[in-house]
Amino acid sequence: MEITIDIEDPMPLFTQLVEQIKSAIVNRKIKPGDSLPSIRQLANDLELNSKTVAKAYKLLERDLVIQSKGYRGTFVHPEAIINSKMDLNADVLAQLEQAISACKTAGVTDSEIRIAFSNAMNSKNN
Amino acid sequence: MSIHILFYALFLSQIILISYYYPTQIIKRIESVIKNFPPENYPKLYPESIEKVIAAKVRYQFLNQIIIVIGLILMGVYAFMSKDYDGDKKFAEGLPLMFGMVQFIPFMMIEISGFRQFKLMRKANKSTSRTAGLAPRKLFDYVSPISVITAIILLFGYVLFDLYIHDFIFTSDIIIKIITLCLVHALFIALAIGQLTGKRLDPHQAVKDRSQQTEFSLQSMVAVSMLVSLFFIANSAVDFFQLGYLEILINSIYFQVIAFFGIGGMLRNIRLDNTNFDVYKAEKVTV
Repeated sequence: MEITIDIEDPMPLFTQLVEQIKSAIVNRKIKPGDSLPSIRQLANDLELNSKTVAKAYKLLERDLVIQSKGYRGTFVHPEAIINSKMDLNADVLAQLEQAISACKTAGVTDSEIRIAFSNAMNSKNN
Repeated sequence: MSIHILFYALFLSQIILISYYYPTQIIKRIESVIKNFPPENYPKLYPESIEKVIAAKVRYQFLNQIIIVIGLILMGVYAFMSKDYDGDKKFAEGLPLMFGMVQFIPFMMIEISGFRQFKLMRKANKSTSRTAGLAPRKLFDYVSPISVITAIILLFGYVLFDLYIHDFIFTSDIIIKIITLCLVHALFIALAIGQLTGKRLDPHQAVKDRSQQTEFSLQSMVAVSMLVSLFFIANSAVDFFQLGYLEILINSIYFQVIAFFGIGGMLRNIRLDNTNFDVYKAEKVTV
């Protein structure tokens, strides 16, 4: 199974990597439990900075698409097929839209929503 | 006398194998590439002009011919010098080793030229897309654990054997041999890491071909490691059993076996009909 990235593509390199790996999982090109190349190997093969590959792996690990098992390496997560189909960005957007709609129905102005969102983001708890 | 006849046969075989047979195979391979994958259709394969490739091939052929002549002269010199030799002591044992090193010079030149070509290929590569395999490259995917364990056992076996026959005294000779082995194996480990996780030298090389090349490189390094240990064991054994007259034969055999596994292995394993040359074709320009 091969992946191809384009360094001139407007999509960030780490996003291209995340998408390609998810696509390989969804299309059953790689199966849950399969091992993945090390960050160093993939970075050298794609002539990328290893931080870019590390960032992509971190995001995939967060989304439970891959799992790191220390010195044994990185593997495709057992629930990777379902988790790869889940779009976290779309989920966040839907939840925010719902919240904004509820605020507007209650008569809150746009600027008040922006200030509240900014305060919420800057809150120590977030 | 029989040692002389054996030596002539082995030395002649060393000359033919390393300076005639394998170079002829390599030249045939270069000619086949030029014929079947010409620069008009496969421009990425030729970062330099075809004339330069042909000139390098002619130089390589000529250098090997000179080495054949040197080898034959050395055989004559040996015949002249050995006429008073009594046949049970060491005599000119370094000859096959020294000559063997000279024989490998054209191969090293071809390797260096290859690295230069790859550098030019990388420089000329304007493609913005990069491809990689999603399978990890691990040592035991390419070489069997048994071969690696055998190589390690042979390495320690040699050290123990040499120490045993020298009553476990670290003589300067043993220390030099151990340091040599350590350096050779450190180089192998660095090369193996480079093969497994390093950048590919050829920017266009297909993932499958890289995997095949990695397999060959790792297998040949393990084989050479075993051979070096066996060679050191054999050399120490002939000294210990006072069979020094055999050393000249062992040295010649050693170089031929190294060439068989190294150059011969490359010719047998990395075949042109299995290599993906489509990656060297010109990219289609879309308007």
